[in-house]
Amino acid sequence: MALLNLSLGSVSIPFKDIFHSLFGGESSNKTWQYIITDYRLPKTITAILVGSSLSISGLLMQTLFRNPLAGPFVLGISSGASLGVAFLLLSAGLFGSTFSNFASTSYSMVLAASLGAFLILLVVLITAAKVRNTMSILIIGLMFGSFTSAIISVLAYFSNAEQLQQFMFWSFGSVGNLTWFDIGLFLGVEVVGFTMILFIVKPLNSLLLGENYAKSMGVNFKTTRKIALIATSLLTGVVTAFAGPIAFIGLAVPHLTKLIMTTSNHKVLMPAVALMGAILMLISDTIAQLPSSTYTLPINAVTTLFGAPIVIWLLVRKRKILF
Amino acid sequence: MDTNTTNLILKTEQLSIGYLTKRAPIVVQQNLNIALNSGSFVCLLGNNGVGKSTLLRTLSLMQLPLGGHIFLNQKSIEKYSSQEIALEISLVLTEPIPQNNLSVLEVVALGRQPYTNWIGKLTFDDHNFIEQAMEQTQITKFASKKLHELSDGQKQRVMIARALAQNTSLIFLDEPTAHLDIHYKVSILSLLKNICKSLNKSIVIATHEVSFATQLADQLWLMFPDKFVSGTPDELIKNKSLQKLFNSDLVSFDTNSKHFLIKPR
Repeated sequence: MALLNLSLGSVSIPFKDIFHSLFGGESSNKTWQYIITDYRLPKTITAILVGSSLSISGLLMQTLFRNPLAGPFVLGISSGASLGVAFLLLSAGLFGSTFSNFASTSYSMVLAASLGAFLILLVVLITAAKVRNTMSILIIGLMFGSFTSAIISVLAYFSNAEQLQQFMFWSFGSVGNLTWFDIGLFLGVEVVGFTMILFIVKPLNSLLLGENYAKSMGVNFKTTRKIALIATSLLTGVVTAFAGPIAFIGLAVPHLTKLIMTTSNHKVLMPAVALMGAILMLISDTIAQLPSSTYTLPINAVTTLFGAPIVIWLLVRKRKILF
Repeated sequence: MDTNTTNLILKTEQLSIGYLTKRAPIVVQQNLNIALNSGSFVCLLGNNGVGKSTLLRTLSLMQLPLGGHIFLNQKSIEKYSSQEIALEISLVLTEPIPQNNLSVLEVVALGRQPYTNWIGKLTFDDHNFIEQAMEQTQITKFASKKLHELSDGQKQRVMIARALAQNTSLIFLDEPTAHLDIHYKVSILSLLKNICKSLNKSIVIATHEVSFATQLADQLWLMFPDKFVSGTPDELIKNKSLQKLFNSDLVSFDTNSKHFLIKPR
């Protein structure tokens, strides 16, 4: 069923577009092909990559921190990326028009987001190495998040409406506008991240019994934590850089999957969560496209509007949060 | 080497245990010279906060000793990797298990982790150990149930089964009978004693069940705030060590019933 959903999600977008281009009179084969190969297909692939990366990161963080509220962004990565982009866009006015032109190109935005995410990440990882308590890392991540949003508020206060709007659009998130080169890069990072995670599936399972039990069964907790943090940072960092801070998916998909699958075994959960994340992201993207072909809803709003009621409904029905 | 040392599975020399803080280490106990024979059933008794859990954690290298040495199979414990320790020592802890959706079978199977490959694939042998452990603890009938659906006593059995599946020569249990009713207490303790004798494992239990401990244990380890005494229950009753353990004006040790009784006022 999941596979059917996946094929529907990805195929329905190009089909809709085929019809659109047909009825719009632009039925020439070249345009048709161009739209699909250079716009629709990359977008679909991006949605799949974004969905699976964020969901797996969320699962990883929830198991590591044994906290249902943990998500891929608890380490402050999205805040870091936002800070980078905010600096780029909002401070552009201060440096004149040449910089402003440079700032609005999409590549500089990706670069700024990556740099911001990486910087915050580095700080969090350095602190994490010094902090023994896992819960403290969670709180430190949240503190960095608040800290960066405070800086963004200050920057926003001093910037003009146009710059603010540009920043707002970035923060809505988008899975479009990626070139094939971008996707190659994205995919590369995702493969590296997933490979790292593959090696900690076994320790993650024993971590379900708590840190001490895991240690007593031979798990090197510090190494596991390090790998989990680095993999999450890579995955969420690359997602935020290319698609903006996509909310909700990373937090909700692991819960949704666990409620449906009723297992905690990561060997089953990992692929299930990745698939679920991809599907949900595809559906969200499809919905975002629905109102008309020229306007698209912000994907962030769609994921939340669409996903939050489902999670609430599932939780009310089952009444129990299990990891 | 005489028979006495070959039988010795765990030994400490001038061990001091406690916690490292930024200012100065907090020493909980020091000059501990403990010897543990293989196949013996040991109960560790002492007041709250005297360092029972700290001792068990230190002996299993969950935390580092502040000084002295620990020898596991005549080899310094520091030379073992965490993986190798997991092949020798298994633990049942007092801490609550976080809510999860693992089945009983999956939890017991986690005990095989030190033996499985990088992805945790269970072999035929692993399945045998898991089955055996579940039979010994009589939990086979709810193998497919989720852990969170079980009662406290059943959960404790599952955690013990997991330790058995780990197939170690040493098992440490920190208050395995806390929160259990008297029936489950005795059933868990006699289960452990049986395992100890039938499989020739050394089992150390930190417990507050003085009465059951004196009836079941081969050896008692008594932890006083300033000293450590070990011996058979009878020896310790005779030399009045046990009596001094809970030196309180509220209770006194009754030698006949081997139990602490409330002092009449």
